[in-house]
Amino acid sequence: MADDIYLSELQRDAITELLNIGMGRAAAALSEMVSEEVHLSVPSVEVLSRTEAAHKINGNPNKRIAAVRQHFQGPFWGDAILLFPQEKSLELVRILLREENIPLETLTELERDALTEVGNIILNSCLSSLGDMLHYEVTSHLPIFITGTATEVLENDNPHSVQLDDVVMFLRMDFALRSKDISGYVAFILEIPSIAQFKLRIDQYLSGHT
Amino acid sequence: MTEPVILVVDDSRVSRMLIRTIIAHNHPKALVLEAGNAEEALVIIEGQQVNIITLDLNMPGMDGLTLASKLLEKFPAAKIGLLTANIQEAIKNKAENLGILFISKPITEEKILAFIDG
Repeated sequence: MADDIYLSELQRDAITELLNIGMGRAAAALSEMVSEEVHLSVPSVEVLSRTEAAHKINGNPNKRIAAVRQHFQGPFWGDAILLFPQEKSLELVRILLREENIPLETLTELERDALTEVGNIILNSCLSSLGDMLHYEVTSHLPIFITGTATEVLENDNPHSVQLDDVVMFLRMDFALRSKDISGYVAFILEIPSIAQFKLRIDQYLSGHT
Repeated sequence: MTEPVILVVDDSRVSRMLIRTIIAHNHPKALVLEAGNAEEALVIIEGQQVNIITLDLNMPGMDGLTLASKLLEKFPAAKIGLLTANIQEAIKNKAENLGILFISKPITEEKILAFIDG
């Protein structure tokens, strides 16, 4: 198992670069939606347990957050998740609809739908870019909007299949809209059998570039 | 030219609202038909002569590419745009093979008008 999850420096570097490009495309899409620059962090790649990942998502894993989760499939598979603080979500909806005077009631009614669509666009931009660069087609399921604790957000649809001590690859990149004080991040979760396949694709990518 | 009949199919209500608003501002006389999935779309087009169609790709039930094939049988002269966040080359090629336009999300006024008026 250790071999499956070990990443060489070169592999880590390639994953970081692919994430940079993928999230660059996602940031361009978000920027188009909100008409302002989106700032991106340096991506991080870690192999850790789901419990540890939940702590990384939120220092207090019991605090409620809003998220859009999308399962994806291809030669490797996993979950792509967009996370942002729940208290900022209505503000984001207001910006997206480009209307200042929307009644709070309507905003609340549209919140789930609007944020799911934001998640769909951001996650798909990034996944599409990864798919194109690694030369495979990504198929994504429909996005699901979830509010809950970080641990709940990381669970799969079938709670029986989840072992919180499972090791996962956690790829993360933060984004921020500074003038609106809105930030969030995108994470990709890959389980061990998928990590091995992902590494294989990364090695193929590297062999074409070294 | 008579104002067109435009069919908008997207499972996101917000996306449909944005498209409808753009059309209403620029083609106030156009008739806009909205559907939240393919099955609904196939029902509301009954008795209509649709000229322009925007389709989301990833929807519950039938996807946008499959729906496009069905709509092309019914409206071979219609202009169809696949509006999606899935911007992979593979998807662009599938749209091209069907003879429909590929439009990347997010939805903007420029993209929608370029499609409708172009």
